[in-house]
Amino acid sequence: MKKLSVSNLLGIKYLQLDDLHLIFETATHFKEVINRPIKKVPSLRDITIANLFFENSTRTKLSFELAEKRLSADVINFSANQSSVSKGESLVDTVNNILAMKVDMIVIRHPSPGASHFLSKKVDSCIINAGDGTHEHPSQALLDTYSLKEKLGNLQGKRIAIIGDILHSRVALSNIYALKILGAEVMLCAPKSLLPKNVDSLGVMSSLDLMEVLNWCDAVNILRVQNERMELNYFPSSREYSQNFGLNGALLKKLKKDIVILHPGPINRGVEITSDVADSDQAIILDQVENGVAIRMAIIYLLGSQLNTTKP
Amino acid sequence: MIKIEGSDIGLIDDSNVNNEENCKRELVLQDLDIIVDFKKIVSKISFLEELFKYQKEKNRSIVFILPVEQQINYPEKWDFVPTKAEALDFIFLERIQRDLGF
Repeated sequence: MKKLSVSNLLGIKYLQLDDLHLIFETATHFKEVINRPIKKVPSLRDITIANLFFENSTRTKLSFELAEKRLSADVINFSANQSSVSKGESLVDTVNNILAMKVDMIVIRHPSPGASHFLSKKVDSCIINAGDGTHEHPSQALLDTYSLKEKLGNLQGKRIAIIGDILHSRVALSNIYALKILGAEVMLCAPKSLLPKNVDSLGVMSSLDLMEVLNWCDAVNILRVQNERMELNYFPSSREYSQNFGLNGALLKKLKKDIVILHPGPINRGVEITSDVADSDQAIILDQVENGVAIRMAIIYLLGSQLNTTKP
Repeated sequence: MIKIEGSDIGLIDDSNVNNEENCKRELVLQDLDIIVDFKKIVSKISFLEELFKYQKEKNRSIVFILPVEQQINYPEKWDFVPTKAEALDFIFLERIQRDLGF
């Protein structure tokens, strides 16, 4: 059986092209499984997984939980308010308490960048990063690129734009890493205040001109403006943001081609994307949600298969 | 300042907080992350504020071990933890964050 080159999923940065191909290949198999009348397989029947969410999440948490249950794993859930746990405080204690219940794998979302790296060095368990602050969200990037591959085929040389709040987005960074590994060209588009300072070091292009970017790309990933992560005003108003960087039907009509539209959700309709675009045939937003379960099944299955679960 | 063995972490406690000049000199020379651990409330806030500012400017960590009920006596922007083990975890996490570019 083929194996991943990693024993934890901490970020896309640590994966290789073969890893991505293996995850996609496995996800395709699981996508077929979840479309059967009986959607469950016994693959991880002896594995216990803890979902530790130290930050609000609905879709990612549901998607992971569903993926785990489809694989017949035993699942426990732990949620904590962002306000009650900060930085390294009590995180190790919390996790060690849960591990004492003989948990094999941990899916963690935490507001601090690097929290999953931290845990991987502190506890003896398989760690899956479900989002760490503004750092990475690897499973989202894998499902985004998988969904793009379904639409566009091989992504080598394909032009993918990422538009919106890049600065506060863990989705953007993970997508950039994944798209670069797969050989795509990437362009970022956002108000200057929402572009990270190190854009050049990421090996991507950037532009402040939305129309130029739309004309250039084959697909566009629209990111939500993350007001909850902003301590300052990064642009004058939502209305002005929408006028300059929002995707609407009129803009798409001006293009001489159809582009694929992704959005990781949740959507701020009327801000970064209008309803006519979000609900159009060009949008693959619901495909992303469906593929999210298959991709997460693949990640959990591949990492779970590498665990030492020798039974007495 | 007491240096925690092999870890580039300095510990400031009741035994050495009064020697401000020594602490500052050692920080400049050794480029350390710092744990501040008091058993009682001290009146050295201006010195600690100076240390806090110095550490932040150098992008190094500073964390204070203090029971929750005493934290109200100190600036909100400081990072507090209840025990030394958690202070070490705090610094470990901040080091990872710096390595990741944060």
